Amino acid sequence: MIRDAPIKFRLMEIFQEGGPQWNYEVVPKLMEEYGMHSHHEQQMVNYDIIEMVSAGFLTEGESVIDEEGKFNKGHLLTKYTITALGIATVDELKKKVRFYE
Amino acid sequence: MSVEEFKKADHKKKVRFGIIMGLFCALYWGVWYVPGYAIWGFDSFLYPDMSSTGVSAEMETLLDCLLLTCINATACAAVLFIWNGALGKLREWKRTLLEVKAASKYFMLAGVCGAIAVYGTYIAATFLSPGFAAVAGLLYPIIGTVMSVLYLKQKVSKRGYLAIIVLLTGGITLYAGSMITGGSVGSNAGLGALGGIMAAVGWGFEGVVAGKALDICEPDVGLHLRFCFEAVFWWVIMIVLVIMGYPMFDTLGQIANPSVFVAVLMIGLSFAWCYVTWYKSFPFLGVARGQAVGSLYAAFAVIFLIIFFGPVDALGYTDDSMWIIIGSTIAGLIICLIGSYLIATEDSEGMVSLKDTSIVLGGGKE
Repeated sequence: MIRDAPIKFRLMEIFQEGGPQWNYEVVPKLMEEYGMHSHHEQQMVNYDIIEMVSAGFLTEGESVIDEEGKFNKGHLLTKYTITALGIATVDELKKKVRFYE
Repeated sequence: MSVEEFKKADHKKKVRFGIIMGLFCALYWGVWYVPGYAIWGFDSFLYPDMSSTGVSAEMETLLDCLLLTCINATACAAVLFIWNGALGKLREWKRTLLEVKAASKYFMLAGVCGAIAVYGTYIAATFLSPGFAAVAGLLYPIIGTVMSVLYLKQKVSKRGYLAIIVLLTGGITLYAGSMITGGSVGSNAGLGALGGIMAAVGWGFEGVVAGKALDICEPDVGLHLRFCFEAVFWWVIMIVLVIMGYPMFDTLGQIANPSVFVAVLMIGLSFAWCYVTWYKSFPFLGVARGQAVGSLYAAFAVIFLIIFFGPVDALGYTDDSMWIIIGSTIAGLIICLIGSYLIATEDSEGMVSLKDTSIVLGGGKE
């Protein structure tokens, strides 16, 4: 596991290990590991995921509207899958990071 | 509302946000040339007394440009500390800095390339004109493309080559006017042109190096690190120069002068935010279209410079050279904009597959 590295490194690893996952599943998991608690931080991590789609590391899958407010009420919940580029990138990162156990 | 409709509306909202960010980038980048040029007029901030060192007037101006580039990088790094502090990203900053092999070494390299680009811009602006410097920077995609062919072994489409030819034509048109006429009185067209080349080459290399690491990091943090490294790079050079006997620090105290302070702050805010908004436009607009919108900076720069300083100072001409300089700057600008539009609006599908190909060729599946 990649530890204490920039958020996107670990996000990619979570998607690599867990397969296709919803943002409301991945974001709280990462926040717990990194000791984050606020709504602002939640939005920041979610934005990181959106950026990773534009970088070609993740692709968007199905989405539903968050009616009950389990993540961000009135906004879209989206399921993401890691791409081949994402897998190759995270494998490369594992060799370079400071802490990988 | 169905999920599909919601998705469509959401997408539309995001694209609008992306375009606004891209336009802000172009505005900030364009407006940066204004305080960057105006600061020369304040007091003697950029003119430490070099008379005792016996350097030539041109060398003295080159050292003044160096001082300004150092101030520029330091102001950007300081502004981004406040920005990232307010956004709660300083812990991520530390994590990224410490990850030397995977991340921060690329920002260190990008900082050095950026240092050359910004220094070149100030040289071009001082020895020729700020308008020339702004348009010369538009040539940077040529370097990016050449690098990706040589080192990443990526294929370039016919459209890509066409764009390069158009950009080169634009570049030659731009340079021709200043070269034929020798620029305005008291300028050094050769040094100015060299500065323009430094800007294009520096930003081209910076894009290639930083692009590699910015995708896997938090862009606000990565860009900040790039400016921190650039600032450190310049401070080291400044200290070396001081040890060699050049009085580089003598006028720094003038930063307490409110007009100098405001100019430095404006330089920091406009340049730092141009980078930040540029990267904010990518997720919602795609890198290609984000760059296309961002390329408008040169047009904004020429317009702002003409508004604030008048056409003579902005484009640097005399009565004799007026039409050749105005003509070549505007024609070069338009041709370069067409070139960057061509290179940037490559099919976005193609962009994704381009990345995949580089991975395959980099030792993956084949």
